[in-house]
Amino acid sequence: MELLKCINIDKSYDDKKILKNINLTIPRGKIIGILGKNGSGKTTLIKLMNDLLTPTNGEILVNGKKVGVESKKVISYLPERSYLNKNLTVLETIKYFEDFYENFDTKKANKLLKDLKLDINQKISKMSKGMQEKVALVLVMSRKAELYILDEPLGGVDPATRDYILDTILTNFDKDASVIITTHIIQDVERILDEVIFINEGKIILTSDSDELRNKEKGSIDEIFRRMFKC
Amino acid sequence: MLKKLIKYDIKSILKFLSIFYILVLTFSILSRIFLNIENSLLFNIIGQIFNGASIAMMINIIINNLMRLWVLFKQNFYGDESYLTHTLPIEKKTLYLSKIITSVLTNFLSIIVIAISLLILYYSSDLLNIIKTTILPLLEVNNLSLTGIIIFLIVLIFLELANILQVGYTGIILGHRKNQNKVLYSIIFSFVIYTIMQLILLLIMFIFALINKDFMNIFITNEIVNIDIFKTLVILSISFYSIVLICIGCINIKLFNKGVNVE
Amino acid sequence: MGEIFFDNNIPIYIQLVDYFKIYIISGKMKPGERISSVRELAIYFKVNPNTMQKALTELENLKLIYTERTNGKFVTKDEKLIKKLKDDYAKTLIEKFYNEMTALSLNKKEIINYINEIGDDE
Repeated sequence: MELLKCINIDKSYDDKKILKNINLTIPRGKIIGILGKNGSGKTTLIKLMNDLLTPTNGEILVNGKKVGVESKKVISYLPERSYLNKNLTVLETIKYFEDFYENFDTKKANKLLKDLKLDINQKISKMSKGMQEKVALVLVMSRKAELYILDEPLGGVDPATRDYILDTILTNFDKDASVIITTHIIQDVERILDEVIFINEGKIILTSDSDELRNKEKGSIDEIFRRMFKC
Repeated sequence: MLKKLIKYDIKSILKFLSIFYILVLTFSILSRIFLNIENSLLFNIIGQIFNGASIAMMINIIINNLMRLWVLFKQNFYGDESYLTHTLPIEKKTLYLSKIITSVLTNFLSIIVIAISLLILYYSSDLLNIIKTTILPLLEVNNLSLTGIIIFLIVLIFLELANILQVGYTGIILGHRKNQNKVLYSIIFSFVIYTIMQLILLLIMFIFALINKDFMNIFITNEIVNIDIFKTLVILSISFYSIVLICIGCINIKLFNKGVNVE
Repeated sequence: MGEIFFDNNIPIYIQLVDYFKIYIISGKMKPGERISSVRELAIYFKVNPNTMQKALTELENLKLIYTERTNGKFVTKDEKLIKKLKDDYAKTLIEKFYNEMTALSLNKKEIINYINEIGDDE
């Protein structure tokens, strides 16, 4: 059974249509890039997958069931904003994840945080934005999930951190799980993607294997994307 | 899961309130100490100041408790943290119940702390005597017990607080279904619902009064109400508030289950 | 093993195949040498494990590597094949180079002189 399936999804606010008739299947064992400009509807789609928004039409199935408690057990989600309780220390946040997620691996989290030389007794509010993002990534990647959804994980981080993030994603990737990465900075990510989905003005324009696309269109994904949307 | 949620919710509320609890108790004790030092105008004044500060702090605790709970509700369910709250593998109903139980427990704790500091401020053998000589005989004549009255009053205050709080939650939920001016709408919705609630209570009493002549006196005369009517009034209010509390709670959970639309 | 600077314009797996090919025909990897697991290689080259798998499958199709059911993947022991591939590859390179040099109106002798000069520098 497909890991995740979007069937005829529409989402509108008042009269404004943000997503139009999205049909999408996410298989297992793939790293998939959802690529689109700012405001193309990427984040809206991701939020629908995570039950933070309700679709105007259509439905999203995870392992064949509508999004809900069961889907939240198997999806590990990194939002594009900082979403942790800033009054807690890193250690307390780890405890929080441990309390609520059965598949959270505390040992792994501690190891990753140690690699990053982050002080686990520090309050999150006292950390720089980059450090907060790293903590969030570590927490999300330390769950043994079936689907990791990373919304703009590389937004505004320095090259060293970017490499670390990509490394972490690759190191933790296993063949039964899938990873969805959204981004508008394609160049940095395209190397690790199995499949790409182009999204523009709320519609899916293209879905393809990334190497096949490079072969067919003779160029990098980044270039092909720019050509297509003239940006 | 519910237990763990409540643990975190209570922690984040008490983190702030505990400071006020300590302050109000300290002020009460200091006030008592200074007022007990005889023949000193200065100490007397200081004592009075602490007395005032304690009372102010008590009001502060009640208001702050409500405000903190609303802020926590908004932050957890509609703020940045909502991205974490709503992606926890927990039913919406459980998330909501945790907030309600946290409200009940923290409000209860606040009332107890306030009661204790009132005792610290005003407890004396004179006061006991007054109660014994004047109030108790009065109550006995009317076949009432002091503890009964106190319990009923506390329950009433408590239900009123819980309703104000929950109506605020409804306002926040409804306000955040709008696409713009969410906070403004939240406040407006809360006020409207609260007003409607009080109007319905008044209406019910009026209908009741049409049936019961004695009860009608509340509306048409200025006479001191007699004890039986007072009893009916309290019981009527308590039942009404309890029903409203449960109904609005169910409505809120229903609304919540329809799904949130987080910004 | 060295580092690959990937060119995003060319399919990643093809770049991996080319890299391994050169590694094997140059003798940096000995015939019969064991190859690390897909996972280890993917992490090493910072590529998607699926892409790495695709590259190894391609190398297997080229008979440059083979799989032993329980032990993993190994570089081919067929030294003739390696030699042939090396010849082919060298020929392709030299042809390309020769064509470019003749385009500059240089004759074979002059080209060899240039090559000798490079040799002298080293």
